Amino acid sequence: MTDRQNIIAFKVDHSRSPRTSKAGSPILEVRQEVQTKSVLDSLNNLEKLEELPFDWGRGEMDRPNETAIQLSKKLIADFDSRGLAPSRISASAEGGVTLGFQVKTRYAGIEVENNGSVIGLVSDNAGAIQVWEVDPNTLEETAERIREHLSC
Amino acid sequence: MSISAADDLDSYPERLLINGRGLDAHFETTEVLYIRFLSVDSTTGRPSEADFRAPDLSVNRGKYSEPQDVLWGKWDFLSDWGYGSMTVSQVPGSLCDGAGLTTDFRVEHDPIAGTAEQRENYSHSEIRAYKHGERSKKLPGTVKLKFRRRIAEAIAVLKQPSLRDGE
Repeated sequence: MTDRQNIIAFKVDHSRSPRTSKAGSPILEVRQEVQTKSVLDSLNNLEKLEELPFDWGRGEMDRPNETAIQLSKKLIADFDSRGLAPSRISASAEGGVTLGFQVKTRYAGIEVENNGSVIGLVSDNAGAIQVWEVDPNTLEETAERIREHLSC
Repeated sequence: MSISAADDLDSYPERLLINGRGLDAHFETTEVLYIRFLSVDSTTGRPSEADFRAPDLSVNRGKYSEPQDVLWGKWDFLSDWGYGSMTVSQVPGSLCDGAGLTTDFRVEHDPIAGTAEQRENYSHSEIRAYKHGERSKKLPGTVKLKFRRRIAEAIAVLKQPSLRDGE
């Protein structure tokens, strides 16, 4: 098993004691805001990333830090309120978190870096790739851009 | 399962040893490069930009290695990782950021000499970034992400990793 598989196999029971992040933002507060099962799954996946060992990826990759994890949770909840849910949540090899949205051959991604920067990406998987810097406090334009791209 | 350090001493491919060979700076555009990745998307069976770094992305040269050789880590054989291939011509030549600054990318032969911490690997190469002709290790986030996505889309998956995100 890989380091990451070991973590995924570790089940955390959050129902008994609400878990609070180091930044003081209770995960359950975010959960109360989200509406769909897919988003709850997404938050669960993020929590697994929080448990990655420091040497995950054979030391070739940086682990997502608290900033990236907490910001990703906020973005997922915000996207959910706009009808978008990521199909893949991964620890980025660059450090940070990658949210992937795949619909048939079309793809959109959000990279949440450990320094708090957020970058959006859309691709038709045929060479046309667009990237842009995202203001995490004003996601409306980014969400619309992703939705429009995925619906083509 | 990984082959232990004791086992792999006998099985490490001789073709990866330097054996007095010098640097080979010439790459044909058709030369195959091999790259490994830890996970893929469970719905597509493909890696994404999440699975690669930039710049200084490590690859093995097809001219001097077999595809599975790329699973040799510093000491262990990473049998639960996946790997794939692309050609030199599929490496982005240059990418622009939003301000019009161009970053060039080149594949460069970078044989690893054996040390106490790492096995030697003659086929090892890196995809490196240059700005105004000077090597750059720090790139704008947008350029990095676009480069990594280009790599992810170029790769032909030859072996699936054990880990499939989303399952």
